[in-house]
Amino acid sequence: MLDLKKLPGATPDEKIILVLRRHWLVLLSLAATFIIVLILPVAAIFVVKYAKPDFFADTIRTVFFVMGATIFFLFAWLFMLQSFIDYYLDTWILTNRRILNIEQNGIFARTVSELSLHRVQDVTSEIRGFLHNILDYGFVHIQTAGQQQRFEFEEIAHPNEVAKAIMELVEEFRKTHIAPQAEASLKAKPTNKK
Amino acid sequence: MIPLSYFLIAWLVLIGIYAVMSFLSLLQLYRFGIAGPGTYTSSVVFLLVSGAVIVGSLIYFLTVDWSLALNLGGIIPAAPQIPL
Repeated sequence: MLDLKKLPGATPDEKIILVLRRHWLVLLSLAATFIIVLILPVAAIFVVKYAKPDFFADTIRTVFFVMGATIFFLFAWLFMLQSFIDYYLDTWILTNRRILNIEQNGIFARTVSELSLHRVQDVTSEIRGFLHNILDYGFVHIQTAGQQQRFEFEEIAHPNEVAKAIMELVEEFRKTHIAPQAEASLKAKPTNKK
Repeated sequence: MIPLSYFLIAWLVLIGIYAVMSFLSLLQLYRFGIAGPGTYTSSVVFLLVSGAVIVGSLIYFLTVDWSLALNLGGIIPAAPQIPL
C-alpha cells in the first residue's frame, strides 16, 4: 500500500501539499451507469410477470432466472469495482519538492512518473464545458523543461487554485534551493582581476 | 433431458471465475491504493454485497429439487408435421 508518510524516494524535509484525484462527478456518472444496469434484471421480472403471470410458477424457469440474474449482477458489480479502482488509483501527489503522477490503466497496467519542481516551466489550468464551469473542475497542464510531453492533471477539482499552488511551490523551491546554489557557485568561481 | 444440477455446476464455475477476478482486483487495490479509510471501506462494501448475493442465491438453491431435468423439447417446439 502507498503510505503517504513514506513516499518512495522521499527526502527528510519533503512535505505533501496536495493529494489529487479526478472530480467526484466522474465517479457519480459511473454509479449512475451501474444503477441503470442494475435496474435491467428487476425490470425484466416485472415485464415477464406482466406478459406471462405464470412464468415463475415453473421451478426450472425460476432457477434459470435466479442464476442469470445473480451472474449478471455480480459481474456488473465487479465491473463497477474495477472502474472504481481505475478512478481511485489515478492519483497526483504534489509535495514541496516534486510532483508524482500515478496513473492506473485498467487493472494491471500502471504508470508512475515523477517531476522535480525545478523542471516546471509553465502551468496552465483549463476549464472547458458547462459542467466543468458549474462544478469548477478541469485540467492542469504542466510544461516541463526540455521535454515535449506535458504532465497533465485530468478532471481535478479547482484547477485554477491547483495551478496557482504549483506555481507558488515552484517559486518557493527556486528561492530555497536553486538561488542559494547559484550564489554559492558564483562565490566559488575565481575572479580574474588584473 | 439435461439434469438441472449441470446448470448448478456451470453457475458455480462462473462464481469461481468471479471470485478469482475479484481477488485479483482487490489485490491490486491493496497493493497500490493509498493507505486510508477509502481503500478499506470500498473493499468491505464490495465483499459484503457480493457475499449477500451469493449467500442469498445459495439459500434459494437449497430449496430447489436438483433431480429435475430440463426438457429441451419443452422449450423448442417441435416442427409442425406437414401431411404429404
